[in-house]
Amino acid sequence: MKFTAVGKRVPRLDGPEKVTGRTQYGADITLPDMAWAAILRSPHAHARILRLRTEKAEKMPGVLAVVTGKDFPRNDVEGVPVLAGEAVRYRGEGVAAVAAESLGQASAALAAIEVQYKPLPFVADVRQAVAPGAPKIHAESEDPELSNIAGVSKVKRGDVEAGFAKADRVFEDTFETPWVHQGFLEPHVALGEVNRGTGQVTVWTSTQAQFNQRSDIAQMLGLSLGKVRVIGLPVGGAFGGKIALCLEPIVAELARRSGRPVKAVVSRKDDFVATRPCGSAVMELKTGVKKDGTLVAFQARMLFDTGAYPGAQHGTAASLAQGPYRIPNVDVTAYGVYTNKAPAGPRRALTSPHVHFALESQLDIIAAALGMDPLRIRLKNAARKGDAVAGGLTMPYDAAASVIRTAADRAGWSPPRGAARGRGAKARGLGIAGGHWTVWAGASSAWVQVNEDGTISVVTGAINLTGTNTSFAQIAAESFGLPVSQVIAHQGDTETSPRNDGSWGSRILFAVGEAVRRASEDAKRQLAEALAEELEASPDEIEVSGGRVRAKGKSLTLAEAAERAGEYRGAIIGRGALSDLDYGVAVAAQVAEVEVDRETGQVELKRLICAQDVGFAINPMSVEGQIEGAVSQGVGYALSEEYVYDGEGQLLNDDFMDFRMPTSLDHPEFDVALIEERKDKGPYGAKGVGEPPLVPTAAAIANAVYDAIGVRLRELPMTPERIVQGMRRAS
Amino acid sequence: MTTETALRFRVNGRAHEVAAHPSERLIDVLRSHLGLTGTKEGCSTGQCGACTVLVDGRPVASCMMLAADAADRDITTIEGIAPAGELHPLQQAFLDHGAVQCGFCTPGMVLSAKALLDEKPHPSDEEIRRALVGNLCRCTGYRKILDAIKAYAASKRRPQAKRAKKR
Repeated sequence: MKFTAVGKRVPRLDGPEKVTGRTQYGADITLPDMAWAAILRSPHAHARILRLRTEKAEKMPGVLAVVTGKDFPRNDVEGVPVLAGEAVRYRGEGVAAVAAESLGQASAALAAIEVQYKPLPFVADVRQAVAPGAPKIHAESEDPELSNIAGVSKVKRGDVEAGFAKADRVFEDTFETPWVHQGFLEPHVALGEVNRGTGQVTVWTSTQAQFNQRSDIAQMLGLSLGKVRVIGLPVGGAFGGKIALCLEPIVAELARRSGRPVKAVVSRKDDFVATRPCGSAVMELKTGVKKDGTLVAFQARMLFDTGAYPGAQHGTAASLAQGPYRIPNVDVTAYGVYTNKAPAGPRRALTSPHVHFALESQLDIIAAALGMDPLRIRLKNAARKGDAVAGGLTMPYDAAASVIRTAADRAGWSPPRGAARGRGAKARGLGIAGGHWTVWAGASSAWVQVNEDGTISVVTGAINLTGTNTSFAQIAAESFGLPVSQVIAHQGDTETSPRNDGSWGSRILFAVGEAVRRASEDAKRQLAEALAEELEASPDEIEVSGGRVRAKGKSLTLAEAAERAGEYRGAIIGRGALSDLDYGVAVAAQVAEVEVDRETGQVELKRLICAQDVGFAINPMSVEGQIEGAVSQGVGYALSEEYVYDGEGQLLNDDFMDFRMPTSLDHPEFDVALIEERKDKGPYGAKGVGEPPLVPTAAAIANAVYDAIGVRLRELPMTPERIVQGMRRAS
Repeated sequence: MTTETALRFRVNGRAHEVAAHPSERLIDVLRSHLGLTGTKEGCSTGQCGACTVLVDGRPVASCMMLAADAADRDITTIEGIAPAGELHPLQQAFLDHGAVQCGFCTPGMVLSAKALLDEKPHPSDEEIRRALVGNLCRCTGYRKILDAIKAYAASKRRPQAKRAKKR
């Protein structure tokens, strides 16, 4: 089939507004008579709040309202309070919020809030947290044997002990990954306003999930959904960090109490300290193999730091821990563990990068011990159609081996030459890793209206993070046979668009894109029904394509058809709604080439070759952009990004100088290979692409470092210091 | 309380007089007083580059410059590099190469690139990377941004190459 609109490189339709600085992000919005909010944050990692008095603050100049956790009918969503209750459980936890005429006045009033704390013993990391006698962060633990367990996920298949008994070799290794920030450049921001007539609260926010936020805000404020309107703003980066509530209920409640619109912007420091960063992990793997490299048993026990409240993605970790490989006997237990840190939240690909760093590093350890090519052990075990992967799911089709082979071929893969490839001051190495991600549909819906002039308006409630609106326009244009320029795709808000789950998990193009395609087909069907009499044909005989409506030799332009259909029937609005597409398993594989300086321990990334099964690239330029951006995040995860805490639970590197994300100097030469099987249930065979490319990157780099200098690093990030220490240990 | 001072600025070719508090920064004058919200604030400590503007042609983190220090100088923001309703060809190159994703770093990125290209129309790859080192981008991995800048620089080279041939 030849396509006219999908499969093309189309520049983002919101690009001109962004490149000229005209896009209005939250911080750019000023409402009439607007007040400002500031938040008082806990100076303690763990303390009981004995006394909290706000009277003095309320009398400070310019102050309009003060709220604490007690002022919300419900103070938490899924166990995460928005302002502290009886206790504070991490440094930076919000305790109270003030609205005042100016930001300066709001900030000044914070000092007048009286809080008396009783400091409590605190827990700094997951190992300490689960040990007997550890201070209890919450009264309850989800595991009778271990303290401070927020949740447990298990995946079991086959008989792991029998598998180990059959194995020729068993490998046990422990891997660790750090806390990291998602790294979006736009700090959290929200504005709230209340309509005094209807009592309706409107919240403008930089969020990935406006409908989910509407429901969360409504619960917290004790309002019906109809009384809460959430307007998702253009988002200046999110990567999972803008799903959970942050400022939204606070500005809403302050607006209710003050009768004024209220705006809040989180400072960069507070965004690092007190939003929802991605938690660390300690992962113990035990893997049994036959002499020929066949994987026979896999056991993992993993602790995911969820911080002070639930939020760690241990379920995803358990489900994806075995990678895109065929392993008959599996026994995985993943815990979410409380510590006195900010509550963990999602980051692009959730915990899949964590578990693949562990697994893919261990596969290379096994390959080296067996004298096997790392590529061969992966190809040998790559999951095929019908093999069990990802918890209870099976591979829908063969893709893993071809993706891994493509990455290797494009990299000019050559097997390792022994412990190290180079002997000079700078050593080069190649490393390979695979990974997978499952794409789920979730609630997804779209409206497609045929305007009277024959142009098309697409409306969804999906937050347009990655250029999905441009792809929606392509999908509708393809359906009607129109140029993309004849279609406008809008992001509506919770009142002006149909319900959608959030923009997460690489689901939007896959699921909402399919809803747009179905809505387009529905609109075409409505046109045909409206015009059947006029065209003297049954609706089935009427074809809408190439921007025309045709039947039995008669033909109308889409404009003529839309105008007449409107007269006969009112608006032509196609509807697409779904939540149950078959999941997609997205496999990615990468080869990294590094140069390691033996003196300084500095790792320079030379090349990154990425192969990914993308289903079908509706907009290849946008797909490449997703892959390159995700890989860049993976490079930071591998080499430089890490939260560093002092002994008191205080984050030491709460700025971009010390939390080191890749810069323009750190970007490698990318080679991106898109593998398009077109077998998935998304529009035209598309599936999600944004998360998978972050999954293999850290492991590919770790394996390349080993190839270069013969040193295996089991902890991220691989800073120069850790590399030098590793070389010292090895020599 | 310290009183506000009248400061003169030349922003995007237009003269402005602003009553600014001594603690106000250049970014506050641009965003709050003049309504030029194309300049973004990502970190407030000069580490992300989102607030980059040109002061006398040089890239400056406007969150780190006091308004008083920018007075009487020539300031260019993202709103000023092309006539209203038009795109500078460098902006067009960003669009054509997919160099814009969330867009929050984009105005600062474009201005840093423009400052480099104004001074050095045909920079090497290394010079481009160095010129952008103060502008963080989390979305793109930088490659498409570098591609856009290189393509724009190359498009400026072509007519000259032709002229050289004619001679």
